[in-house]
Amino acid sequence: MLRTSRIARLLLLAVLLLAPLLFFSSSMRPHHDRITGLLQELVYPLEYVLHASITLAKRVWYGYIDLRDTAAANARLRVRLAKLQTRLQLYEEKNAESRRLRALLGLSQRSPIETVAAEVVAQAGSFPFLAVRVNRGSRAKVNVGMAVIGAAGVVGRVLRVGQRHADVQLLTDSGFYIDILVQRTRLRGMLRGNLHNCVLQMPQSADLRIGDTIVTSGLVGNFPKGLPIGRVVRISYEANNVAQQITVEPWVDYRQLEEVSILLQRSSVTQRIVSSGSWLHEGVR
Amino acid sequence: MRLVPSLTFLLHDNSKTYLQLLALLPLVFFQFSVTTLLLPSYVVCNLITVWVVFNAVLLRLPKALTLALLLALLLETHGAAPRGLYLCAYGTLVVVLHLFRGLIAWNMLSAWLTVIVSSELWVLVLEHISLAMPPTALLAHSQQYLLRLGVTCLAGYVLLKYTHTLTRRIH
Repeated sequence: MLRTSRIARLLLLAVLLLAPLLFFSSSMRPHHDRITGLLQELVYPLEYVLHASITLAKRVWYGYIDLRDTAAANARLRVRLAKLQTRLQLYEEKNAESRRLRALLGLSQRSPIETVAAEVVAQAGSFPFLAVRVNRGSRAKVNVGMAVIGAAGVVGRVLRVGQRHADVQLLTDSGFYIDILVQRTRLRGMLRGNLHNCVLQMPQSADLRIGDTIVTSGLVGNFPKGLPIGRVVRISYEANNVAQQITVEPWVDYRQLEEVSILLQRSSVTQRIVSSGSWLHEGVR
Repeated sequence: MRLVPSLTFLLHDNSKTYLQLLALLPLVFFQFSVTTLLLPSYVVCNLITVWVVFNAVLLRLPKALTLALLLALLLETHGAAPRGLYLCAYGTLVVVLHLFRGLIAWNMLSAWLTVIVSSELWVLVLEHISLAMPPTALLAHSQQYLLRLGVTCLAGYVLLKYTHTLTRRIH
């Protein structure tokens, strides 16, 4: 009896030791199914209550008690607001000009994208699989794969969705890939998360400099073209004399992330093909 | 006066299973919401591994395995970890610990701490393999990994001190 139980345990151990081999050869993607969805819904209320209490405490402290620097900050912000309003008027003028020129050249107009604002309520996951949880889910029409942006640029992509929350895979996650453009030279490449920053492989002949801004190409995934991602901070040449590895530091600081916007558009590849190909429009008609 | 409610009943083999299952929810919540608030972003304290080790040593295999796999599933609902990573890591861990628990001198503090560190190391190795990054990345993040091992070991030590009356019964 004892022997049978021992054999059963050893068999179980063998199966469990072999399981990683199967899983390492699988798609290796994070998953979302009914069971995990249910488990998420169970934990979320606790996280939300904690977040709400902390937010309330912060609001009371900074809104009613700690007001020492408020007047100075207010004056500083008024000056900044005036500067930004001037700059905004300039951008609006440029935008209108761009629209006119695109229409003149027969290029398709970029339609405005619907967004939903969300608050970061918790850290979902820890190093090295860092993600953040936001307080908008399927009830706010958020879906898996949607692009998430912050004030400074790209934050990540929606990984899984609950009814009232969603997990966002961060740009720096090692499983995150995004098609990019170097803003100055318009070179295209594939950026990959590298835990604390991102890396990009380019041929050695590619013209890149420290400080270059990297933006989304808008070709693959749900990110529209031109969203800022980060800047080049390091260029290292590989021993094979063929490639160079570029380290990109994201503009968004994930440690201080509080609010994000989720772009409510999906399968932009198809959308782009349809909207950019006028012949397709006519064909469809 | 005890400020922290007793948790030791959760580590008894004949405790109510539903209570042991329910206890996993606050544990996961504590892991992802409270420790992240208390600790700097580069420090990770893996309470899950500590709890799995305690369960594997103190409970029967079916119960310990069920709890560990449920914890792994809960862990996989957080973050961007690949599918099945923690199921494999914690499933294997529980079975191995169960097989060898009779050979370890649990009356020694160092035995507990060694088991906790080795278990966390196993989880770290699987995590790192799943990242599919070049070996140099291991060196780049070695400080963070060492810190994680140390903090998890410390969490294990605190829990061990807290439950010493319970863990004494298996000596």
